[in-house]
Amino acid sequence: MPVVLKELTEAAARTRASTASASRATTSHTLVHGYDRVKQAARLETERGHALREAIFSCRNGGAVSIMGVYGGFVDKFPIGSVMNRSLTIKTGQAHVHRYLRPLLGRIETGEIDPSFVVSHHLPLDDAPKGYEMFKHKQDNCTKVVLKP
Amino acid sequence: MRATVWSGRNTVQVEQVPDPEILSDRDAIVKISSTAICGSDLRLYDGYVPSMTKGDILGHEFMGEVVEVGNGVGNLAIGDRVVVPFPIACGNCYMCVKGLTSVCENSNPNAGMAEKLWGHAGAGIFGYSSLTGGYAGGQAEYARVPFADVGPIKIENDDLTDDRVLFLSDIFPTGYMGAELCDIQRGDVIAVWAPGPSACSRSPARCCSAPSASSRSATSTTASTRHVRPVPPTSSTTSRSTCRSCSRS
Repeated sequence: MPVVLKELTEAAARTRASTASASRATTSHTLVHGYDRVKQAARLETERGHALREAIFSCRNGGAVSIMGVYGGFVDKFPIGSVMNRSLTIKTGQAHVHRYLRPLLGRIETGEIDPSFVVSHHLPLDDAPKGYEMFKHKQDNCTKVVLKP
Repeated sequence: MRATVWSGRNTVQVEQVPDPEILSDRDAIVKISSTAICGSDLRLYDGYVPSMTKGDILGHEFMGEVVEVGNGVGNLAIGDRVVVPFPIACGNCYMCVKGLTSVCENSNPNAGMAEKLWGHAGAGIFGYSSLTGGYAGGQAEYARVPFADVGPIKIENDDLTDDRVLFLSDIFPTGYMGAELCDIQRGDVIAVWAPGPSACSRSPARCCSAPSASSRSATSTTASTRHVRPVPPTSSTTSRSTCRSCSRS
């Protein structure tokens, strides 16, 4: 990923990177991945930092990394040297939903945006345990479960 | 009522629990019509978030019908159809006045616990551990909504289905804010790491982050964290990518 992005950014002004729920990133071929897995199994590290580290390493000098999703505690091996020496900007936060409600509802009303495309499954509330398992393991191409009480 | 409760690592159950009640003048009770499982709920499910207790009611993406309002909620009436934002915000504190409602200073009754872990506390959040207030969540038949005069947004157009507006509660604004924080400008290359639908919300190809990305003709790359692989843009001036989460382009 970093190599491909480097090629893409050769002719571009800047790179912006954004991560969501990157704490659940699972794919990695790095030694750090093994380190994360061991520490998480022992509950000594609460986050999986692979996607976050990769987003930082991939971001071009002077670019911005926007971190969304959810992080609860601590991540190891955070590459602060890469952030500082390459003048990256990091911005993050739980969404300040209230300030987006009216403008985004307006866009839904005009038909400009229809977020319903993310829904893959509707289940009765009583099937919530099944919904969690399906969503966790991405069974049956599960992208989003809506429960109906 | 029936509610989805956390019962330990990798276990949730639907149980009979007491109905919620109005506890403050600014509360409302919502009868839930649709409620989603969020990717962040999977962190609770996995057991990686501290301060979860067996029996905690899950869920922070929900909408429904107002069935009871406190005396201090003048803007909602019984029968209103509302979507409820996942952060609970008072609307009056320094942070809320600045628009930073997810760090409201008055909505987290367990702020002392959160301060020990984070230095300062964040806002209360529905169904998301004691660290964020220990509020009962919305994967249930009913929910108590504190500060109901500030949070819920009325959906007055009955033509809008639940699926179209439900995600105003979390993932749509979350994806949107993720793009907004990048301050995307013309010519920028954008890469998105994400395992779930929030990425769709911010993917320039899906246009949910339209003001920041697609309208400024950025070049985009979307990658799932499970299969980190960029998709080259089809042209240098048009946003287009394939979202690996929903397999749409």
